Parts: sequence; structure tokens; C-alpha cells
Amino acid sequence: MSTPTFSIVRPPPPSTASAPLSHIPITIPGSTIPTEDLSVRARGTLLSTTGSTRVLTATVAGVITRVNKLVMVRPLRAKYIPETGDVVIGRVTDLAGRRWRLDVNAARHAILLLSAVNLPGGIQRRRTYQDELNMRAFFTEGDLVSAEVQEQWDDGCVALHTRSLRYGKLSGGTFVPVQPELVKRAKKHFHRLDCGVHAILGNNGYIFLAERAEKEGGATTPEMRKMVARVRNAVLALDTEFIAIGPDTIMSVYDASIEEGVELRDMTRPDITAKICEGARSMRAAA
Amino acid sequence: MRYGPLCRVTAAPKPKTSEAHKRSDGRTGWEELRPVFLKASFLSSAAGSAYFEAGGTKVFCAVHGPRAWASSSIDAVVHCEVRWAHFSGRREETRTAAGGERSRPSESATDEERELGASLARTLGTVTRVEMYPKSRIEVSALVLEDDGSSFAAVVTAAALAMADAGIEMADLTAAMTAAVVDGNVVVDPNAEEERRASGTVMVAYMGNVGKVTDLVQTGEMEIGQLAHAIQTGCQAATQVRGLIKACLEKQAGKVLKKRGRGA
Repeated sequence: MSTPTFSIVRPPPPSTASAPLSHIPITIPGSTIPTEDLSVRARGTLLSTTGSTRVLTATVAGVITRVNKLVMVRPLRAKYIPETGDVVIGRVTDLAGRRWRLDVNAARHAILLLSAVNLPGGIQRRRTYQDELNMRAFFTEGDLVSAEVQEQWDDGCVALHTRSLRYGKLSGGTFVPVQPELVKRAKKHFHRLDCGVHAILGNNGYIFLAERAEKEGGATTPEMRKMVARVRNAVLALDTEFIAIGPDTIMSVYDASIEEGVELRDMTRPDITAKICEGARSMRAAA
Repeated sequence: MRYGPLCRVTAAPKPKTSEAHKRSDGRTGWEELRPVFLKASFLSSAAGSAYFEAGGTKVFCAVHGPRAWASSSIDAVVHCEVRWAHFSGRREETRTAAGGERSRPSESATDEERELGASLARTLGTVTRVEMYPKSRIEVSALVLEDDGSSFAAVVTAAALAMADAGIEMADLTAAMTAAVVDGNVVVDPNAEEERRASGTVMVAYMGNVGKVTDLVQTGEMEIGQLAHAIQTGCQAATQVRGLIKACLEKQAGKVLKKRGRGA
């Protein structure tokens, strides 16, 4: 019986839009990565043996990156990879014995131990059974919490702590999730922007915007609300345009939107987003 | 066809157009596939998603996770749910029979859907590097919007694209293809009408680069020679479909990188 050979017949491409990208080594799972013998394999690669030949194949869709002899594939979309000392914002998903579990946009939930929070009164003492029963009085399911990554456990979980007056429950503000790689690790993650809005830039891509730094909410004005909304849309614009998010870039987009007289609701329109982000992009390109 | 970037997969020496090889949907060869349309990343809420269309068969697939999961095994668990929409044009009889009520189709999965879900989980569990995601669960849900034959093969292909789109580590991309024996001929990528007339069908999921079969589902009866031929042609056609997935992923990557301003 004869076996047919298949071939793909394509219609002519409408345009050569992807031509400028041809020099970037894009790979997909199962494709062979051209290497020398002495390459060091890193994430996103797999050494597969077929017969006597050993070839390096990619396991994720992404860009082949080489640093000297290290070969890795960087995925296009990534989850947050925690590191000790990162400032993160998490949402409490459930309570387990003596701990809260938080969603921090990582592959696994983060854990906040009861012994890693400051009890009211600021005194250091043993956590009693009574404290364990009262855990929901601090954080309950659905609460947003700012915290710091304390350590990474052997099984890949991360433990958080809120042992500082800066950290704790967040309320009376706006929550904006962005791509985690846009928030760079910096000395400062709690900012008071020039327009007066307080921003917490979590390393995990979760951002919290509020009118005041205090944890408790209170009376507010429509003008303040609009200001927070404009900052939120500026952050979303930076996310769409893939520009690193910091106080300088947020304010650049914020000011540009006011200068151009852009309405709040128009800031997320693709053409306007590109326009108001021009300044921020050149800012990052110069840095 | 009506949609954007379509590709036609066909046997290389194009078979002569004869009435004997004419198929019910106008194809002119037993080995000709229907036009394929693929799209990735269209659901913002899912970690990865894919839409696959081959002729009249249309499938959505979404991947959520990996998420933390307290399981007994160390490795990640792939959990799959395959559903046929009520309006997909098939399985309505089995569904109402299982649901008991004739007037309103039941909401719960039929036995066949459960079985195919387990089959998909097996396939994806083979290709995914489950050891990279300890104690977590990857959830895959697929919905057949319209069923015009070879729908489970479409589900497997869409799931592979959605998994790659979610950035989950896999040894290779898998793609699936159905071959059926209709009137004594081995017919690749059968439509619903041909599937009804077929004496037997075989669905093969194949990793094109590694060269391994990840799943094989045979129904009905066929001669052993025909089975071997069907598997062989199915694998070859699946390799071509893998090429389409590759093109789709590369296009997606280009789009993302362009937005990041790395292409300029």
C-alpha cells in the first residue's frame, strides 16, 4: 500500500508584518535547539536521547536566550517567581491551621503563618489557641494583604510575613493586576505619587492604589476618586504597552493624558494608549 | 472559507479528480484534510486557550493553572473535561437517554464525555513534564461547539495548543488525526457523514518531533492491514497539523514580542 506524503498549501500571506522579528530565535515545545556540546542547560530545555544522538529540545514556547554557555528558553508569559525580600500583594484564598493561604500570582499559593504577623498592641508573645480562633479577625477570605516574602521552603512554597507597620490589610483603594515582569525590584515599593495618590507596587504584578497611606478608609471626594481612576488607567496602559512600571512612568502617562485632554474612559482605547505612553517608553529606552 | 489565515493540508501528489475519489464535502482525495483554522490566547481569564476549526468541526479549549493542589502524588495532575455543546449536532440521543428526560438535555457529562476526558488527560499527562510542577493540578476544559466529524482529534489538537499557550513545559507538541474505513477505503479526517457510514475509525495522537504515539482510540472494526495503514497516514497527517500549531505559536510569539518593542 502506498503511503501519501502530506504538504501544507498556504494562501499567500497578506503582508510581511512579522518580517522584522525574523532574527529573534522563537522556539516551540519539541523543537531542537542548536547547541554546542558544552552547553549548560537551563529552564525550558530538555535533553532527549534518540538512539545514540542526544539533542537539546525546547519544552515551552518562547525565545532562546544564551548567556555564554548557558542555554534557556524564556516563556512568553510567565508567572511570578518569588524571591526572598520581595514586596508582594496577595489575596487570601483560605485559612488553614495557624496559617493563611494567599494567591500571589505564582505557580503555588503563598503561606502567611500566624506567627509571622504582628498582633495588635505590638507586643511579642507566644501565639495562643485563642489567637488561632481569632484569625478571621485579622484577615479573612477575599482580603488583600501587602506582605514581604520571608523565605522559600524546600517544597517550593513561599512564606510571607507582615512584621512591619507598612504591611497589612489593604482597603479603600483600587486593585490592578499587571504582568509581573513589569514591576522591577527596587528599594522602594510604597510610593506617594506626585498627584497625591498612594501606590503599592507588588513584585508579583499586583498593584494597589489608594488615596491615603493609612490602612483605614474614610470620606472621600469625587475628584480624588477620579484621580485614582486615572492612575489606574495609566498603569493599565503601561501594562498593555509592556513598559516597566514605576512611579516615574506612571506619572509620565498620567501627565500626558491630562495634557492631551484625554477623558478617563478613553485612556484604555488602543490608539490613545499608544499615544500617551510615548513619553514613558522613551524614558525607559534612555535608562 | 470565511476566516483569516487558513491552510489546506493535502497529499503531495495531488490525486486525480475522479468521481470515485470525490468525497461528500467536495474533497477530491481520501487523504485530503479539511481547511484548518487555529487561534491561541483569545481568553484573557485562562492561563492559555485555543480555538481549532477543521471544516465544520469547531472546538474551544482553555487551560487553567497549574495551581496548588493537595494530591497524593508528587507530580502534577492533569484534569480534563470534554463537553459537546447541546447544539453541536451530535450525541443528542445519548445525552437525553442518559439524562432520562427527552425534552431537556441533561447538564451532567455523559459516559462518553467522561471517558474521552480521561483519555485526553492520559495524552496530556504523557506529553507534559509533570515532574516540573509538583503537587499542582492543571485543568483543561474543552468544548465542541460544532461536530462535523473527527471531533475528539480536534479536541486533542486544541488542548495541545492551549497547553503550549499557557507556557506549560512539554516534551513535544502532540496533534491528533482520525482515519476511518469507509466502503473499504481508508479515509483521513472524516466528516460527520463519513463517520456515520464508516465501519471503523481510529484516532491517533502523535508527537511529531519525538516520534511517539501518545493516544490511540479505535472503534468499530477494520482489517489489520487497514489499521496499520490508517495509523501510518494518521501520524503523517498529525505531523502536518503539528506544523500548523507551530506556525500559530510563532505568530503569537511575534505578536507579543512586537508589542514589547523587541522586534524594532
